[in-house]
Amino acid sequence: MSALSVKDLNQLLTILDAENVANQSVEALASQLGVFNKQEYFKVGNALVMLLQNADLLPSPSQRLAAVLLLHELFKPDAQNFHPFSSVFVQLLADESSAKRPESYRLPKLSPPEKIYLSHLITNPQKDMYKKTLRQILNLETTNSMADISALQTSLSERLSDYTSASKSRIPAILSMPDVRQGFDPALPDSSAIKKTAEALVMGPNAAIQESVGPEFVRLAPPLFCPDELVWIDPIGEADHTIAYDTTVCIPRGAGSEARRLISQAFTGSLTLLQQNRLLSELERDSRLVYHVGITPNKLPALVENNPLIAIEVLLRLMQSSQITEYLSVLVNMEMSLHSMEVVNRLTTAVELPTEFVHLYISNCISTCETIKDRYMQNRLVRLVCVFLQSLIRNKIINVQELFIEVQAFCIGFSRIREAAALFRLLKQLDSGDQSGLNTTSSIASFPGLSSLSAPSFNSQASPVASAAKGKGE
Amino acid sequence: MADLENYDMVSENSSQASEHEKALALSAQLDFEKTNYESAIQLLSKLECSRPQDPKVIHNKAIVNCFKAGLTNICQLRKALTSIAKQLQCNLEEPKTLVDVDQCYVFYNEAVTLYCLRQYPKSLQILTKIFSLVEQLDESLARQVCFLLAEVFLRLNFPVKTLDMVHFMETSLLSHGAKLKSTLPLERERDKEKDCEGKEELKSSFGDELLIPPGVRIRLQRLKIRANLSLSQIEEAERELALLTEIDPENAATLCLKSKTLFFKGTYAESLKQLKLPKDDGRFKERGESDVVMYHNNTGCIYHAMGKYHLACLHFQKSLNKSNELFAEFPKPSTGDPISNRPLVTIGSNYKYELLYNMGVSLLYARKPADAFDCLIEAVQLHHRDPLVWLRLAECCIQVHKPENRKDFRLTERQREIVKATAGFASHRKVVLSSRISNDDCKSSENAAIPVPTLEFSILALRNAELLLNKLIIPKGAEDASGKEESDSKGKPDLNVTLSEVSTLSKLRKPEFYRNLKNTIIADSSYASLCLGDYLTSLYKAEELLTQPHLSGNHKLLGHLYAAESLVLLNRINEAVPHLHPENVTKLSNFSSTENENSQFLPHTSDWFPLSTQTAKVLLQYNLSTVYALRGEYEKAGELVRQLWNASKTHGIDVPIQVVTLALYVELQLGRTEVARNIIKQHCPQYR
Repeated sequence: MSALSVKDLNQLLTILDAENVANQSVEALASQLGVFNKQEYFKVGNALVMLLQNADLLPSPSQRLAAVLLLHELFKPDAQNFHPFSSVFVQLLADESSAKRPESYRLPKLSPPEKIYLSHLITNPQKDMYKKTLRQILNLETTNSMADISALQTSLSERLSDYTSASKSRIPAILSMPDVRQGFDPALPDSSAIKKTAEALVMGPNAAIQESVGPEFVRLAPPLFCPDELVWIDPIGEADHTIAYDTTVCIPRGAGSEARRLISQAFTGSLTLLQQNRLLSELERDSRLVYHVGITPNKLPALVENNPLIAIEVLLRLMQSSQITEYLSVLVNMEMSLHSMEVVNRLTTAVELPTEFVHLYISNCISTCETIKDRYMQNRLVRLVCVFLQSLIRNKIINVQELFIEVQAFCIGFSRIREAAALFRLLKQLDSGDQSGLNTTSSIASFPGLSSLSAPSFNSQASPVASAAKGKGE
Repeated sequence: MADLENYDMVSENSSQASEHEKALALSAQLDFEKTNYESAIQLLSKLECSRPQDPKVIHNKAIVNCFKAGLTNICQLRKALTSIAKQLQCNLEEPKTLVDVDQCYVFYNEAVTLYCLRQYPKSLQILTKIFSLVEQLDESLARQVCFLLAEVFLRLNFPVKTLDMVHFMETSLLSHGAKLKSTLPLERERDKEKDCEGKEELKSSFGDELLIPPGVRIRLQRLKIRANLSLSQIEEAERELALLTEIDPENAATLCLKSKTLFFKGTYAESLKQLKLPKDDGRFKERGESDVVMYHNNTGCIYHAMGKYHLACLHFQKSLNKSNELFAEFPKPSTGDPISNRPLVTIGSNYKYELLYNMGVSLLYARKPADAFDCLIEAVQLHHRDPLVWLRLAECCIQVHKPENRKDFRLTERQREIVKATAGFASHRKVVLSSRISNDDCKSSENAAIPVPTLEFSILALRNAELLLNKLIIPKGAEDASGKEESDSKGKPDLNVTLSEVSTLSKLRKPEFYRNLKNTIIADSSYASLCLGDYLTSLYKAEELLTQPHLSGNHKLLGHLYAAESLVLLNRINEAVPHLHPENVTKLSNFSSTENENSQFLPHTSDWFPLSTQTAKVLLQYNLSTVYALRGEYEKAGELVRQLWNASKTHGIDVPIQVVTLALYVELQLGRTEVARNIIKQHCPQYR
């Protein structure tokens, strides 16, 4: 919204000219508003308020009164009986003795006759009031009292309650700062200086008349997000990740590769029954295949632990291999476990193993049992070893005499365990030449503890041995 | 069973190969390896005549053709791969259909192209499937798959998985002799004892390492260093770096990783010393990497961390120029195929958008927010899923709107602005007071969707950042990121990862990072809304900020300031008062008190004003006096303002210019016009 045009301002100042304004009737004064375009009325009103606020710009009392009256005449009260500049009138009519109205500091103080006239004009305008000249109003006898403007005050405060304190708090930005260093003669109001000043305040897109000041918050802009580091470019070797040429073209993918795949899987986890059968049938089909499926002595323990049945089959097929000694030595030296014991046991029944190999394994088992610290695990292992030894003895795999002292010491050492005692009794029997305790068949299935070994799916879990042993112990 | 039949069919195809065909295949392969692509194609064509149904022959022909064209016709290759896949009864779009080892090459090549096109999640999907068959792959393919997997995991911010892959390669793929752990508790204990002995174990594994070819060893070491740095495991990275330096001391890549490690340690000067501008940057077409681009970018990163933002910008600009120059050498891509006419290896290694991001952030810190905005708005085209980039954009907008907070506190400079204009002379002289001496309000004008650095755009950017951040899967704790669940050496690493829709530009972050990021987004949103006159939103955001756990001192102060101002502007003045209590100022810092300012946070950004708690307290008190003035308690407001003014005179505490304007206002409201005039005369002597 731009401010009042210079032309309109000049017209306004002409209307308010000190020379002729005093003798005009209110009616005549109001009629001069006709020179303004209706749309400009609000701006005219603003200019009037500004002039009123700056006493030096309206030096004579009649000019001041004219400005107040013009302001009033600009707008006829609407249906809600509201005049846009009501607040100005309320302030002008305020009782100075009562509540201090600080905002009114810049509005001129009206004389009692002016106040009385204005209050009646606002509340109850009569035609004859308009016939009075300004001079008459200024010199009115103060017999009448002021009209009651409380209705206006109420409606004003209702209206104002819709505004925020922040907007209500604003006051005009124009402040008089008389330059005391330059000459100042109040007796000679320089009308052209007034005009110039008023023009300067009204003109321009950001006219001073439109400015206001109020309390301002200090608002801080937030800090930059700081824990940041930028993107490094790493040496990646992008060229290393490139399209690959299929090198397996024309290379037959027969049974061998399938067996290889299954074997490699067998190193890391137990195979399903289906996979086992498939692998075994592949090995069955080609007797040389076992040498090409990727089994090495180093990998044997993994196979034993995960797939003991496959391990047995593989070892049986590798018996003719030049590397068999290495396989066997890996087997006897691997950590003693249920599975390794099962494998050795099965091997002993199927082929004739070198005696020193079996002896080594037994020593290994015994020393494991003796060195183990965990009491529970020790009991479990001892039971297993005893059952295993009985099986070996009964099947005549080993000659007890060669190991007699060692085994006997073992039995005595663990005599608190039932199986050890039983083994000890068996040893004693054998020592006394009584062969009746020995089984003539070579089946180990008759031993309750190891019955599961011969079951086809013992890789699934050989825990029956352990649980049987455990059950007995308790 | 269908799979098995399929398998039989495929194997039948190759099992029929005659000796002659085998010889042909072998010489074709040798020719390919010697880069005699022409003769390799001829041999493969011959082979194709006798084996028209063999998809492997067709596959290799496509591969050789692609190499012959300098790997520039990727679209063609992918079409060929798709049709070969159809022949192999699988679908490249659906990794599930990969069931047989014979299909692995096609899928692997698809994964490589996806990797080069930066489609890491898709690439990972395929690679994971191939990896499930890793035992059956021939050694060279298995190795390539594992390396690519490790790289893709790193790109996707799963450095732990990268380390798992490296471990897998070292123990299972490259060394022989499986180490097995027994199922018996007894044996496990024994293993533990062995581990305690430690060193012997190390020696034995070093024996295995000797079997690994040096080239492969170097690649593994580089991956380990990068993954450890990504995890902020500086010590581990240094250890691996020492090993790498032993094998490959002079290589530019080694020096770069050394520099990066030193950078992460915070020893910037040392870090800078490692980098040298390479003389020559040839073979970009084959390598896909430019040492010059890398040198300038990384140097820029170091300078940025040192707080030398202008120098950093200079290096980023050089890096960007070089990158643009390199890519300008390629012929223009043909229409409809934006990746044509340039080697595959260079497609994914275009760092333009990362460089633009780096430069944008450096410019922002160098207080050139409009230029920064231009860089970041380009970077966000590629990285539109990164909340950080959106936040940076919003920060540019805010900095354009309000370049600094300190301005209001430069009293001598600002006091002449108390009076905006004069009118009239002599007795009629009027002064016009500045209506808003520091106007932070912004008139809503531009359409927010137009990318210009305005507060409207910042609102949009912040909303994106917040949404993306909420979608981001944030590691719950440090142990989540760094704690390795040691898988058994026998086992294959678990490749399952939860991919986030949201990407992040750089390394894996700690949870504090995300908390701080969130708080910053909320604070910025509150500020921008406040400036745009959306007081309800600014209040809501400020309150949200104040309820966040681990709030930094700065954010706490801002939360209270914004909440108070929003409440006042919403005409809820009385509710604003508690926010302006001086005790709401704690230690001013970008970090919450629970976070130690560790190496993750670079020491460069404490140039935010106010720095001192005293100044912050003055601010709260000043704003409180504003509230008093708004409530009409002018005497109270005047008293508080006077106290602040006196404190600034006696103790040299910074006060904002608004202290003067408020004093002026209060005097005017109290009708003490003469006092008001004196205040003006005091600050603006020209109006005496």
